[in-house]
Amino acid sequence: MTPEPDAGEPDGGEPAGLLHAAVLSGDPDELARRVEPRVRATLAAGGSVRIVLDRRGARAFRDVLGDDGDRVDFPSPATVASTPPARRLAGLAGTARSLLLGRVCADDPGPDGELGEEAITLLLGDEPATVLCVYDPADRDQRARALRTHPWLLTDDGLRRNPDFRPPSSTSPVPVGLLGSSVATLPVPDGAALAALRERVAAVAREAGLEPERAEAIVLAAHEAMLLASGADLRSDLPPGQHVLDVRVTSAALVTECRGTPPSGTRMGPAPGEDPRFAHLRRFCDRATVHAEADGRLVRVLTGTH
Amino acid sequence: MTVDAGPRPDAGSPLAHALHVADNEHAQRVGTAAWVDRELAFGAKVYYKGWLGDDGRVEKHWIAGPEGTRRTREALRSGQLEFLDFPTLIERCAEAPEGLTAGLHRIQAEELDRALAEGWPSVAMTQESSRRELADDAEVAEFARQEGGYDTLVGRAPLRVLCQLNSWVENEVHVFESLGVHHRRVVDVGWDVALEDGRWRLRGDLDAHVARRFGGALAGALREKVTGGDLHMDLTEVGFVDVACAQLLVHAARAEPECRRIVLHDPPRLLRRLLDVLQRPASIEIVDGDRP
Repeated sequence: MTPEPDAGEPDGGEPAGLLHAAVLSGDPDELARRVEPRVRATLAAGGSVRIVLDRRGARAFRDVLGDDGDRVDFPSPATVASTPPARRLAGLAGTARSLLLGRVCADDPGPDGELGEEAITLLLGDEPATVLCVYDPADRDQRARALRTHPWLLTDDGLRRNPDFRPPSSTSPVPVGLLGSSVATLPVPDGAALAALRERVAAVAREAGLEPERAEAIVLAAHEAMLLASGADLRSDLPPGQHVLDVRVTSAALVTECRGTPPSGTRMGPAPGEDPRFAHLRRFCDRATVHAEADGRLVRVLTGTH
Repeated sequence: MTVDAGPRPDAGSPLAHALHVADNEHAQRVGTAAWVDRELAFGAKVYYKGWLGDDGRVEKHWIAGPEGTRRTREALRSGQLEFLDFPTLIERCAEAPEGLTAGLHRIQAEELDRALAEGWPSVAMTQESSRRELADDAEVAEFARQEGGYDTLVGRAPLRVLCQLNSWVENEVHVFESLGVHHRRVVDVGWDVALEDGRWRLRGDLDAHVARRFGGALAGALREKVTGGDLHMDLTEVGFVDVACAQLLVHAARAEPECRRIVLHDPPRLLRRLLDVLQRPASIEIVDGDRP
């Protein structure tokens, strides 16, 4: 058996948002036993559980969970592999933190597998969900990727921070393979420029072939994202600053990045978690994340094209 | 949105008293120049009230320079366009025994009567942003009474009025109250509104940039309806409404008496979703069927 990695610090409190952890395990039965307590706790709290493993792996979980296995969703890995990483939590509609376990990214040895992990970290960062990615510790490449791309590890001893984690860049240049090619950038110096922002996003959405209602929602989300990035509260206009819109397109999603850089000394609006605008804009896209930066905020909004 | 777009309002129509809002000096001048030029082209006598520079010479005012039109410059020479600077106007009003506001109304009425007596087929009046602080309720009320004088004159003669509002020189109270007073006809950056056939017809985009101004106009429209009746808003030609403006609608509806409704005719589909997100009160009613 390959030894556990040099496990980092013990769990010092799980995050309120996404818990993205690698599980290094090559034995389906051992994996099921290790994760069983978390699955049961999630179900007991009212959360949804989805386990994406081959037949052997799924059977191990069914065996260990007994009747509770009937409350778990077991889709086939092929179905999930065709879903963009940032949308893999869709449909997990429990009343509490949900749990997703699988090895779809691990099974993809190419760069898309690693990018998938980074997409989950970047784009699902605010989701109240636990994503457990199973990697084979006997495979050197898989093991290295698991340690590189996961902020947490679920070991025999429980959850631990991963000291080897290398967070993906939340600032430019953003890997093209992760968020798509930049197709439009636009300075948005003040509130009068918001109309131009909407026009630009609408044009990209049209060119991407999105159906009109989805395109309108993307425009609204991008507009609100820029206001949020600038630090404006709900009663204020966009404060003047060096704000920039960047629109990126992949075959699966349209991503708008709004980077707000108010003049130094400007009092920013409420933190995103307390800002009703953030809650509202999330109703009009598939994913939205906020990154605090030294001189402002970056708000990313992702909407699937299908 | 340009202030000279669309047909010239009929004489006597409430739309003949309009507010043109601009975010910068250039936009204000472009819009005003086009409006004045059109009135002159229709043969109207035009009275322009504004601010002169330190030298007090109208020849140095933008309207007499290249930013005005050739027709405007000729009209200044011929007398079809008369310019009166604000300090002189205020001085004349202050001298009036009946008080400032009544004095202003008398001067406006005299100008109108004189133009009609001279045989001009119609009259146009425009004034620049007054740069008044509107520091308290009394001053706000006086401002509303002064503007009401234009409405009275519009109702009795072929007069068209364009009030200019420069958002960069006026304070927030002035902007808000000015929109409220002029809610029947506003031409702003990216949106406009006209009260027609009992409906408040909006066009364009309502977003955070104009939210306070939209809020002022909405407050004015609701104030006019304060004695009863619902406010019917025609949103057929509105393309976009953001969270800030949708929230204004929700707050306004919640502040109204229970028996009054804000009826939204043909809102953009995204606004419906947005209002649901904002927990639309029952007093906001949505009616479909007018959108072509």
